[in-house]
Amino acid sequence: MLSVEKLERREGRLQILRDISFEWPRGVLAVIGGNGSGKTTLLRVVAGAAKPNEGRVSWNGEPTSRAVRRRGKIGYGPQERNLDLAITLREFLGLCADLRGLSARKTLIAAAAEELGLVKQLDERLANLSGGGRRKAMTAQALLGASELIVLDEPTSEVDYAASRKFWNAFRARGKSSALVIATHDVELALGSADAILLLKKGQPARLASAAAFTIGELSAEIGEG
Amino acid sequence: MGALTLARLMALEALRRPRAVLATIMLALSAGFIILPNPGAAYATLTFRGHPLIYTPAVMGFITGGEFVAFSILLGVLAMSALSPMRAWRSVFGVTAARSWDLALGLWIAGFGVGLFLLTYIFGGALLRASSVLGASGDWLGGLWIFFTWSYGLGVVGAALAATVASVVLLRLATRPALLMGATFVIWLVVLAALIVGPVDIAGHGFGLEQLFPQTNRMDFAMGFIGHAQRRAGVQARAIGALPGVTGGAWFLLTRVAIVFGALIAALILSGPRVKPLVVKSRTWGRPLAGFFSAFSARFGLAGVIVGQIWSAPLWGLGLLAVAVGFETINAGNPISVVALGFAWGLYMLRWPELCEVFEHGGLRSLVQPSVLGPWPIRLQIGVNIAAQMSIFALPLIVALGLAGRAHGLVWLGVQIAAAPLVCVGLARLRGGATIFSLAAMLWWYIMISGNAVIPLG
Repeated sequence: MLSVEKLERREGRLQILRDISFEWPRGVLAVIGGNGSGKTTLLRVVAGAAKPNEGRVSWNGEPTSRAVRRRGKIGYGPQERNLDLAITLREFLGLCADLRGLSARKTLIAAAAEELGLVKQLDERLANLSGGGRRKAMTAQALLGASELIVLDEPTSEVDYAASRKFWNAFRARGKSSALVIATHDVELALGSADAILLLKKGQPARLASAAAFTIGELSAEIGEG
Repeated sequence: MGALTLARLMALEALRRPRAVLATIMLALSAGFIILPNPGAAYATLTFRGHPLIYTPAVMGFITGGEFVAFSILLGVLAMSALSPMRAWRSVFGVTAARSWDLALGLWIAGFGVGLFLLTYIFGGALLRASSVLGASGDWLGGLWIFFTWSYGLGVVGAALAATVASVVLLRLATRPALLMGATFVIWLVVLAALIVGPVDIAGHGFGLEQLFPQTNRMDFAMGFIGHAQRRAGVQARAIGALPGVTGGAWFLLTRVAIVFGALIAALILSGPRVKPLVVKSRTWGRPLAGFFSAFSARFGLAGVIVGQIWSAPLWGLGLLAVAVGFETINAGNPISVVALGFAWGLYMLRWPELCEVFEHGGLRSLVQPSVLGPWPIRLQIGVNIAAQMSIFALPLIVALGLAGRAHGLVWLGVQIAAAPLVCVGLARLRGGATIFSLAAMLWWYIMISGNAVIPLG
């Protein structure tokens, strides 16, 4: 169970997140909001990459900043995709698996590539991949192994529509056994595939409800206001 | 496991960057070429404990290994960042939540390999410079073996130190190239002062000539090229492998092995906290000041952008620069003014690689590409801007030399002012070129601030 309690996060003097509380046991939670609404910061804290200034973020009772160090607990795919490297996608995924201490890496790589439709690109060098390809690589490394909590920051930006649909199908399948927190601007796909939507406005949760409770028009209007 | 995979992939990464590898090899060969004094010189160019060091394969190996140790930290860190784009690796490390010591170990192994790779080519350069020395005694292969064992016997320590600095500093400062170079330079000076000259004696100064040359008390120091005595019997020198059986030799070998392992353990201990994923930081401090400067610099077009790129981040550098230029003004004409000038240029030089990278790969390119000028006029403008800014720093010295009528001195300054931006803009076209430029800039900086650069007379 992901538990966020009265989360506050500042960057210097800038208050990014304020008073965020929610719980998420399993399934796909889409985090939607306008640019600068605090999605990335929220995901960083949830993934354990940053600590809250106030409040608590935990996975099964353990702070995520500590849980991230344990094998198979948390997978994180950030926005950053500076992968200008001459190693191949297969080598990159193998390195990520090794650094995380995951065993049976060949099987894990094959499974992640199959899941996201990356089999043909496995032997491409990262530097030769397009922007969307590098984004896919970042998402694939986050899905390696059976992490209990998977945090993805805009995994389908720069990704073509067909691949985006495949990704969301994969996320939904993963959601049966794991908790996924995904920041996205793909409102339509999120509405169709996510279990719930957290709407962020100016660093505060405007609404958390089942995806079925939202409409595209309503979300567009809310994002525009934010 | 992760560390070994990382080291292996870093090696693969380097091998897949042929231009960077080639540039590194050329750099190392050149370093090897200039490490040894001219073999044809009719004088002893180096002394050791008061004795003139004259060419023998052992002396060549001693100089090559010792010089590599002295410069290995700079060379190793710069070669690592040329061969392996650490900024990109850094973004990989961040998402894996890997243990820092695992990363440090992988980087250390890769850095150690790069150190030995550099040493190999420095060795090759030295060999090109003085290959005839090996044959002077009539046993070319035997001479080569002595040369090899002494170069590597000492140089391996330098490779270990470079790997430690690379694995600790590069890991943390991969996204801050100017800070990385500054920190590397400071660490290099500290290590040079505290360890090489100090009690650890990495360069082997305390290692007696009696072990290097068993006949030191009665040997003929006039052998070799000096005195035109190439055909005389060479001084007997031992290979590193023969040392365990010599008094004090085993201790020497043990201390070297201990330093290598000590460097590895230091890297693991100093590896620090886990590396976090990269994120663009929101800075809120100093906004009004930054706003004023950006509005001001915008009035000067590309020149303003270049000045902003160089001086916006290290504002503290402006204070140091003012001190250096003030010092140069007060001492204009004295040799000490060259030290101050070198310091001022060093501050500036440290920012150039970033500027070039920004120009070639990032923001500046997207800024100027929509213009009708095209890339070359922009490069020209960057070069002219760099030269103009360097001229301002050198102004006190230019005035002093001009008033004294020292035409050669003015040419000496002019060549630097013209050459630096040309080399900078030219190298920026190459992958890893900015790093090679920074190495050259740093060495030139060191030569100046160490007081070794003398203004030509006349």
